[in-house]
Amino acid sequence: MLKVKKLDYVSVILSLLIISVFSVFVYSNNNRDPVVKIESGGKVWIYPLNEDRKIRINGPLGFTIIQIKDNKAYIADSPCPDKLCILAGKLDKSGQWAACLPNRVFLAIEGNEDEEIDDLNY
Amino acid sequence: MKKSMTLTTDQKEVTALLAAFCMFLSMLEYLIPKPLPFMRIGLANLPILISLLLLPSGGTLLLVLLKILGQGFVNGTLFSYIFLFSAAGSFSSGIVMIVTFRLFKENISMIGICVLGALASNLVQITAAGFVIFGKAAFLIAPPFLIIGTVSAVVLGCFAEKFISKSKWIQIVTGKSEC
Repeated sequence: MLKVKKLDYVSVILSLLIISVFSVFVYSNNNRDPVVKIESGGKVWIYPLNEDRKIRINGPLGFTIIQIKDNKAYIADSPCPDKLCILAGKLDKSGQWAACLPNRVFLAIEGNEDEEIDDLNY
Repeated sequence: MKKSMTLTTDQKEVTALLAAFCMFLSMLEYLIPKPLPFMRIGLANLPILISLLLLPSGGTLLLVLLKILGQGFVNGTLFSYIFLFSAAGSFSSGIVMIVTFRLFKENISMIGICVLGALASNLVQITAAGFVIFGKAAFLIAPPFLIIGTVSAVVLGCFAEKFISKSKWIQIVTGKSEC
């Protein structure tokens, strides 16, 4: 028969405790309301995703207009030549982002339970 | 401490033999299909558990070094960042196992030592993954990763305990048997 000793139980319980602490820490953090995060020129703005508003961000080329509407955030207008940031479309899931490199504006949605892992590779 | 760092010839032989076992078991584990990359059994830790009984602390650390090198060769990860992860994990688990074995020898069996070693290794690897490469997403897989690690550590610990109590070879090396 196996001789299971006192501290064996202690170590398994310790292990389970750490796992549960980790689980609470990891999985409860994601239940915040999603927020819109805008970065430009070293500054960061954070707005709630569920309130409609229009934001003007001043960049090197001019004003980038960011619109938050119907729980979606998108770059509505931009002075940049390619308009790739506008083509990035409407963002509504956590982790999605759009960026206008010429005008140095970065737009991202952060933090809610829809957070998905984009890709796994091994 | 100095005494435990130099190995006698017998102990060197045992280290080499156990290192060979590590490499063999790494290969066995490599053959087992893994549904997810982090679902490892950690077979190669078995010789390290055994070495706690047979070698001084320095010998066990040397064996850990040989194990990660062998594993790197077998898995082909020797020159990738995965190797650094495995090194960090193996050394931390090795140190934890040595310390718990030396301190609580009377009250703990291989099962507990193995569980604590796996815990140390996994925590270090997750932390390294989180802070060095993958960011916060690494912590998302932490709970299942730790649970699998604990379960496989219990199984491996039971096996090690059984092996140690049955093996005639270990009885000969530790000098508990006449033959």
